[in-house]
Amino acid sequence: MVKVQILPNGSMLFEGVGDPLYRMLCGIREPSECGDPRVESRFFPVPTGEEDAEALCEDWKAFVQPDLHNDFQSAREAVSADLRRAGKNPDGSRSFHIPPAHIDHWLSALNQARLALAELHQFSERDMSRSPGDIDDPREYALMQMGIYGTMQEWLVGLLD
Amino acid sequence: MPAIATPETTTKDQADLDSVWSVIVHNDPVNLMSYVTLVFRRVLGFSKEKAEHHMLEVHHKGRSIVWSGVREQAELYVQQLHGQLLLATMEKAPNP
Repeated sequence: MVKVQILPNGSMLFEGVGDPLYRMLCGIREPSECGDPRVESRFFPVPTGEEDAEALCEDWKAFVQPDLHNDFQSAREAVSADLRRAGKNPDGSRSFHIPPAHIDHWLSALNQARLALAELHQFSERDMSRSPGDIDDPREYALMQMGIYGTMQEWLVGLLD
Repeated sequence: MPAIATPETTTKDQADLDSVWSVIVHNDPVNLMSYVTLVFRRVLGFSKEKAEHHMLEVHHKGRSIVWSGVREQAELYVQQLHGQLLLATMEKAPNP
């Protein structure tokens, strides 16, 4: 059973993380880094629908999107680094910390993964409100991933609130 | 001696600069309600009540105008909202 604690220094400690959950967390980058054009469009939407704002959209692509791209990538890298530092316990489970300075990175990476999974699997609102079925089916596994990443996001939002 | 390229410069149209622009956040079924509320508080400096009001407006009506004013600031807010993966756009507000 996973135990989550907030330590006096403000970091979050996750204990008792079993292999399936650890693997799922380690897979947080994959949907965001798959290069699918639907994911790219969702991550980098146009800034305006105004017909006469072509210059703004061009500037956005040239100057804003590269910065956003770097920010998203840095967030994913920070999450991977926290997971690489996870210690293995005698019972085979793992424990890891999210330092306060990485909480925003986790929020971003979890959100990126959820948005990317929704695009890749074309989940509807109805899909997102049902329980996943057979997790050997990649689409159902992705639905479970979305739910678990969402729960973690809720914890982190609660911590920052 | 190589020719020095003349830098391309564009000037924002005066009418654009004078216009009032609105920042609009659009509904997205994936972003969590609590997360959207948090982003509104952090990016736009809203109180919790105001952030929840706009979040619910996005959820129920599909969009909410979260800020109006000069173009430069609207661009900055849209950039920050995109940085938090919210669907935001800026539109010229209709003339009064």
